[in-house]
Amino acid sequence: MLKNRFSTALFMNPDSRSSLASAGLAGAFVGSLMMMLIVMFLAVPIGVASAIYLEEFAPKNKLTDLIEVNINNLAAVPSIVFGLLGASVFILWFKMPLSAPIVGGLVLTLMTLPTVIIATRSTLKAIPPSIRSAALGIGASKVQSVFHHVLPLAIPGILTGSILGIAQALGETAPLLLIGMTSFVASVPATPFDQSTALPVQIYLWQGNELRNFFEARTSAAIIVLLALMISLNAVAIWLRRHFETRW
Amino acid sequence: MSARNVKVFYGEAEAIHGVNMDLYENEVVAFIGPSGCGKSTFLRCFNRMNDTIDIARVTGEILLDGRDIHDKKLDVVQLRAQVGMVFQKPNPFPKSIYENIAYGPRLHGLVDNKTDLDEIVETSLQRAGLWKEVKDRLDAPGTGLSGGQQQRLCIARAIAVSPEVILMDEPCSALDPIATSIIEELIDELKGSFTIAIVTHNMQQAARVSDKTAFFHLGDLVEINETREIFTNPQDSRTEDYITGRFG
Amino acid sequence: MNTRMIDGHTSQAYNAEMNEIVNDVLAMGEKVNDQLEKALIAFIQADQALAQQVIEADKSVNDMELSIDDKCVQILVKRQPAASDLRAVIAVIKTIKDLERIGDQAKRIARMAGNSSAQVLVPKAFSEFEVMGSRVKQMLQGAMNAFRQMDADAALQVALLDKQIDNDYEGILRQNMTYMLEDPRNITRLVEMTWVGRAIERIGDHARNVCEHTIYFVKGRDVRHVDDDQLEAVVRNR
Repeated sequence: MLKNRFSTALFMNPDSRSSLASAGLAGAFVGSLMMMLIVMFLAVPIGVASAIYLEEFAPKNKLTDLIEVNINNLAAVPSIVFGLLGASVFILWFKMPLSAPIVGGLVLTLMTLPTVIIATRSTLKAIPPSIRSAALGIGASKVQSVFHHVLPLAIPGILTGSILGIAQALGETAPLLLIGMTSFVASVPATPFDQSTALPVQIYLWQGNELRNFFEARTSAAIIVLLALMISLNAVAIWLRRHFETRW
Repeated sequence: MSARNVKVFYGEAEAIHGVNMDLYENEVVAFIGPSGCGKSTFLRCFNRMNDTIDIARVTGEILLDGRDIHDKKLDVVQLRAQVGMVFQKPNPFPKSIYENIAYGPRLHGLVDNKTDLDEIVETSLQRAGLWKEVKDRLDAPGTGLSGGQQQRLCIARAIAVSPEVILMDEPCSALDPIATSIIEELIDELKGSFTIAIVTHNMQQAARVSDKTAFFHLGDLVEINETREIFTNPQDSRTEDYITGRFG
Repeated sequence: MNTRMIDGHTSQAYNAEMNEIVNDVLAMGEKVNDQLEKALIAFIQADQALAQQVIEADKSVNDMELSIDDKCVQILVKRQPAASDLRAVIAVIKTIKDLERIGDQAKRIARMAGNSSAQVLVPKAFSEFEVMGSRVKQMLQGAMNAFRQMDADAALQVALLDKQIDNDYEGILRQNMTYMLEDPRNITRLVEMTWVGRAIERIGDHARNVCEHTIYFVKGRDVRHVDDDQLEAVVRNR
């Protein structure tokens, strides 16, 4: 008897070759989640901190100009190049495990950093200079004026930029292929150092599977899950911006 | 407060050519002059606001209570508490009215409990003539006030840290005539307790609010004298030409 | 005309307005001077018709004062003049008041002319009036010239002449008193003549005021109610 109902198994089971009917997204989902967390905890603080330093404190000279140009260029570098970089640096050099979320997370962090820095800097630039002078005029130090006044106003913009950066990282496939995340993994990773896949990679794998008939519906389901995730992340970004927006 | 042979350089260019001036207690000095004559730049020397511009360099002596404010041992934060500033565009922090006033006293550690802080907020607002208008909505954002009220809020914020000197950089240029006259009246009241220096483009305003008027031209202090003398019988032909509308 | 002190504004309209006012004042000065001259002739020659002409023309002097006054008010409202411009407008407002008073005094002199022929004349007295009259005319012309040139030195020279006219008046007063004692029948006429002397003396005072306004305009120092030495000191300094 056939029943059309919501497939919780899709989310509970990892990928499988032995029983194709029970193949699920759990492994990929957890892997993606781990990478997202890594990106969030590395790219956002490092990116925001560098942006604040560059925008507010760094002296304006040739070196900072060079850094600025390079950051802008990095944001435009194709993601596959980051994959190559990850493969050679993290895997060959640091001997990190193949196809592990930690490596994926680090690669995606590198890729997201420029985006976060650029978004944060442009948000900081948009804060009216009158606010800074007001704070300095009342006797706040440079650091105090940035952290008491400028940064709180910049938070919505920074959050939005960061979330969009993370969402971009979530949907990225190419760099992950190069660090071995294409391998078949039939278990849910317990730590970031275990083997894993990611959502977009899983879609890629299923889509290219020789037993396509079995996976066609699953592929669609996985695509819908990925899209839903992306849409909700973007929605959160918009909501944050609306909610914290301050007028002056 | 007195300035001795103060020169300001922007990079290589000398913007102020050795100005001497004394500001006396309970006296309002107005700085007038055509755009780019250096009056604002000179005003900003008194609380070292020019420090915030990377390429600006100030030489000469500025004495506050007998001490050079450029003294390495003198804390610029402390200086700005003693020499407050009100800017051209009203620039309240995008926080509540209460927080706008309370920020300075908290920053400088002038209070240790809420009651004292409440009192400072109230007296500052009262002295700025704003208390009656805002006492029922101290939690409302300062940016929600009208332009004139915002500027009075900024004045209240400046006097909350009990400065000796208040610098005003074209405080009424963004305000309508009624708001302007309220501010002018306020300046007249405040001069009983503070030394005030005000930059203005409006010569009638200088004539109305100031005891002394200083005329700047091309980075030189051309003439400083009793306001009544400057506006009826200036000694320098450049002053005469400027205030009679023959140039500038 | 020395226009350096009222020209050169960025606003051409402002220049035009200031020049118009100054020219109006000069025209009013001409008119008043004319009135004074005619009044003196009418009085000395007992020319009733000329006297009537002077009395009627005084209205036009008054109208000129009102018109210039209004222009000054307009310029104060529109331009909020400062420094030399402000002093110019203030000096003009005060000058036209003095000119108008001179006009009134001329009218008063002309009124006295009406009765001249009918009365006992003291011919010698008229030579005194002629001397004093020409001196005061010279003073008024000098005052207007100093205003035209905006020349404080010239104004000072003219202002110092006032002392002479005061002396003339005292002379006439003393002389008339002697005549009155000699022949009481002449008293009415002599009182009238004293009034004329008084009027001429007042014109001298007003002319001096005009000079003082010019000095105020040029030097920026209020020199009303100061003695001649101080006046000279103010003009010579700087």
